[in-house]
Amino acid sequence: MTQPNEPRAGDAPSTPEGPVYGREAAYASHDVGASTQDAPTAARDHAAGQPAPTWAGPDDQHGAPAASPGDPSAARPPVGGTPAGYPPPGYPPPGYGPAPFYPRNDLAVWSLVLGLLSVLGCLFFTGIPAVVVGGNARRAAAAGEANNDGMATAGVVLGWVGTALGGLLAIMFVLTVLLPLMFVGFAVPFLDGPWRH
Amino acid sequence: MTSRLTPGVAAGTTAPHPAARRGAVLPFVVGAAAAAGAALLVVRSPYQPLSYGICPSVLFLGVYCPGCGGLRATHDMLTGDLVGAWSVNPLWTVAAPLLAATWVVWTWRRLRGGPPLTAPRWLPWTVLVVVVAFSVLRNVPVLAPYLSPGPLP
Repeated sequence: MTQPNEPRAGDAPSTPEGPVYGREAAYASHDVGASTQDAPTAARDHAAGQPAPTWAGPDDQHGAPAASPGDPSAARPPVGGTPAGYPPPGYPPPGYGPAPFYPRNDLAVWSLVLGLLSVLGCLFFTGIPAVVVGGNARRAAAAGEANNDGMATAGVVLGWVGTALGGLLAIMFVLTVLLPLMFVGFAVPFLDGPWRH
Repeated sequence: MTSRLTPGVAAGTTAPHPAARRGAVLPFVVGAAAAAGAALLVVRSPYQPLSYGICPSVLFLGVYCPGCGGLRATHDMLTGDLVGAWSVNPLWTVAAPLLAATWVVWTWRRLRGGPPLTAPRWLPWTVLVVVVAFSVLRNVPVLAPYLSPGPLP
């Protein structure tokens, strides 16, 4: 903080908070524009309790944005930072902008519910829809419209388990009910007895 | 086909968005399939023994699945016997009209080009809890007179 920000003095300190700490840009663009000698001071500035919301929100209205001439890392004056000395925040303070909205998150939820129902008794009746809807959910998650890809996978897996259970029961049904009935029906005409017409 | 899909135009309102007309086919396909199933259920009564096969869950697992009695309940609802439908499968007796109402709203939205019909967030979990609770409770002997489907025809 003792270092004068001469390359960044182009920012008009329009905030009433006074002197330009000016290093929060290094936090935001640490992978882009911060020069190496700024890194330690960035850490120091953050240790001083400077809020670092830079990637969205009302801070854009304070001070000069990247339009400062000759300033590639778009330093902005901080907003109300006080050198209180508390440790850097564990998560961004309020003002980082709207939370991302995933419009197709419900697909994976339905897939999970259908998968659970298929395992619990509805077998392939809800198992097949669970796999289909789960496939749609995974594609939506891959496209960025949803963030619950894990839940979609769970629904698909459960759907397959339920479908497999249903398939096993169908095979059992054929072997233990249909085939004996067919054999009895086939054998009846050949039996001597009261059934023979 | 176009006249069926653009009733709004015929009635003098603004034409629905072209995308709405395209998406209006699916509800009618679903409705036609449901109507065909309903017609089959009325004509071929599930009360006749083995008319639709044997229920595998009762046969192999010895428990009543939540859909047990669903065919009989649908047949009863279609022939006007609501009490009989309730006595066979109360969950389906409540759910089937709700599904029909949902289909109506869905078709209306698709035809008019309104916002897509989305389920409220609590709906899948509520469905899960209700169906699982129903399938457990209907196999409890104390509640059997109220929830179980009764002897298979």
